[in-house]
Amino acid sequence: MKKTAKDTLMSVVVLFAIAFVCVGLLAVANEYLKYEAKLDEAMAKQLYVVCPTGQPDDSDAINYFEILSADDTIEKVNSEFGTPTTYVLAAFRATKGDNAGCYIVQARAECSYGEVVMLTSYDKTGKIMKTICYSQTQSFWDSKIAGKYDGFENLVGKDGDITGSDIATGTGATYSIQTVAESVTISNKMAAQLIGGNL
Amino acid sequence: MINKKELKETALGGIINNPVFVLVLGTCPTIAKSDTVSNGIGLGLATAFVLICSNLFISLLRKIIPDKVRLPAYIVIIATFVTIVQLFVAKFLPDLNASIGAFIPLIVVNCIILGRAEAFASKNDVLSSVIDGVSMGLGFTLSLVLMGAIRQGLAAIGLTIFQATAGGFIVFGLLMALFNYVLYKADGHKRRVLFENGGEDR
Repeated sequence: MKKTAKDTLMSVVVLFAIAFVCVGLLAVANEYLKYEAKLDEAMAKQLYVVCPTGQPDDSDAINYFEILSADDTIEKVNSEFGTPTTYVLAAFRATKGDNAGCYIVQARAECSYGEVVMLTSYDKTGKIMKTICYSQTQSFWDSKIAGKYDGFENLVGKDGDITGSDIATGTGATYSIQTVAESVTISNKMAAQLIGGNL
Repeated sequence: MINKKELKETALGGIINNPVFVLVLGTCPTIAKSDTVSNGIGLGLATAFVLICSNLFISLLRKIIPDKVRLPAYIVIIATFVTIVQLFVAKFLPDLNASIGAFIPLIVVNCIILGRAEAFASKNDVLSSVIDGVSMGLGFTLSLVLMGAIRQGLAAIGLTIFQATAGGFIVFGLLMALFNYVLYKADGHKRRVLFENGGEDR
């Protein structure tokens, strides 16, 4: 009896110690490897797709956008509406051109089939102008969604909470569509804050 | 301490006991993501990194981890390194992340990692375990690259079925048969002993 109790206690202590060391390793890794939003050429070209600024091509798109210093607002939205897997990554604004002043929000969501990062642009009233998939690791994306349901035209003009059925039904990739909806929903919350002047 | 003969056996384990074609471990990601050479290299190296690091840690802690909780302990260690790989790929290799990202978290449950932890790293010293991790990791990577090259090549001449899962199974089966035939011819007696001993390494 005494030996069993000692063995059990030892097992718990060792597991805790291993978990503690692993958490420490992950904290260090997260410090150096966490995603940091930035406005580079590649991102500017994606922003141009979601928020056209009127120039003939996307070659100098980087001069038409800025990344917002909105850490406090992002943190507020993420803590209020986000989850550990659904959160806003960054916010951008068109600085000149046709849609000058319009906001673009980059947000991420995840399900068991992988992650989705969406870029969503908003008109000056906070309605969706266009949304595109910035990146994804969804296992069913290529076979079920790409080329069929990835235009997301149904979301244009919407705001507030988005559900999977707002995007498409009968896709055969319900969880992936739901993940897109979650990503766009938290983008909408962020856009509401930005347009409400909470920068 | 590992002797010369054991060192050679361990170092060649990735070929002689190839995890994919001989031990038939990690078949799911092998078939799913060996559709191109680049996917094969990416997933293979990610798995190899996790295998080497987890073998190192598990071997270091093998005398401390109680037998009853060894599996949860191994999984915690493996999951830590998989998360690090996932963060690295997401930050520095976005194209690869888009292609194999869904399969990176699944490395946690890849039979090769847990299999080598249980069968080798938990019973051998640190150096042997690291060599085993390198050998098995490279063996897995080479298998994926070989399958990727064949499948991509066949798809390039119009046989697109070989980029689908069904084609992956066909290539996998043929390569497994070829691999075992060549190894049997080259080293038949030793391999018979290996299988009669239940596939144990030594």
